[in-house]
Amino acid sequence: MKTKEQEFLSRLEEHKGLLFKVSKMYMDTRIDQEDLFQEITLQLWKAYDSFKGDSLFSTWMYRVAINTALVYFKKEKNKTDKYELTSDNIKEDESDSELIESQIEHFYKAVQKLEKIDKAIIFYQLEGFSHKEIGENLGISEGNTRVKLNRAKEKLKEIIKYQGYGI
Amino acid sequence: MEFEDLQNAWNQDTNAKVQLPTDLDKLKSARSPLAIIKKNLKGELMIQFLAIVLTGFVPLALDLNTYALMAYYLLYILSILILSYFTVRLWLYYKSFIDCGANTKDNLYEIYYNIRLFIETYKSLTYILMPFGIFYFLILVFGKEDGKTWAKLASYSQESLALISILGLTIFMFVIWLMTEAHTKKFYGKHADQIKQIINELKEV
Repeated sequence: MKTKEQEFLSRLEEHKGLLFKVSKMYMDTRIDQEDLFQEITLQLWKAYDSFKGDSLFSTWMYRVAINTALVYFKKEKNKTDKYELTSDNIKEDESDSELIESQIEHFYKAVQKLEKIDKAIIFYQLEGFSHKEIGENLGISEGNTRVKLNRAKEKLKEIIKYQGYGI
Repeated sequence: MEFEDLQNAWNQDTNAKVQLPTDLDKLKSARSPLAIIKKNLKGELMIQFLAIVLTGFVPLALDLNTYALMAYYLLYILSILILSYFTVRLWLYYKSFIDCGANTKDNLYEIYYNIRLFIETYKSLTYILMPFGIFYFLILVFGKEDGKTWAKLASYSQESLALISILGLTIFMFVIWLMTEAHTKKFYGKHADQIKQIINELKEV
């Protein structure tokens, strides 16, 4: 018989890449990203009993992941920790296409410069959530979500442009 | 690069090689606000425990008269009761369940108000114990068997004594107030401020 822990881990397995994406959006060094990934896993596990199945597991998981990332504090900066997106860790996970790799590299560098809530909104948008769903997850109105999303996209565009990546 | 390009790149960024931890019970929370508060509080409770144990031995090193000894240990028992009450309250506070699955706004407000509540409880404990500190001091200084302190006091005028007492009390209260405010701000308040900042980001635009 499957234990609760095994069941949880197998449910998490299919979404683990997504959890790491959240970590990469909120933290800029490899160590911090791994720490946040571990923290999200822990918070999900601790909250697993409260998951009643009223919503999809993935929806609940997104919420816990974002809520954890929002209040996660960075370690003091350490130059030796500085995350390089060209490190082996990422290379082997990324697409073969250099274009995609370059786009995703610029995306993460840019998105890390956004405010915390803007990151959450961009994340939900990229995951295909509607304005209404994003608003429900964040606890804000649909109208507010729409305005914030447009502003976050504009900011992101500006940052990417500033980084020298053509738009 | 358009947003659609980002979407395309995002969809292809699978992070498939990421490993999940195998033993969840070994995971330790490190930098969530409550984990940091928990760590700080643990250290403080240890220091408090040591301080209260040592306080019990102080009269043994001094030659106090019987009345002073009785007053001291009465005060000591009261201090232990008050400390125990607040320790349980603070302990229950950080053990309280926070449902991360709630929407972000509710979750942030819950954490924020819990930290504020914690800070106020912590301050209350310090301010309640402040008069105890004064009484301990008075008992230890004036409760000595030889009565030399009383004899010394008799050589001062009443005005001078009143002035020294008021000045000493004011400085003591000011220092405690300053230390409490600085301590709570450094160890706990900054986390509340960081969370308040995120709450402000959620406000209507």
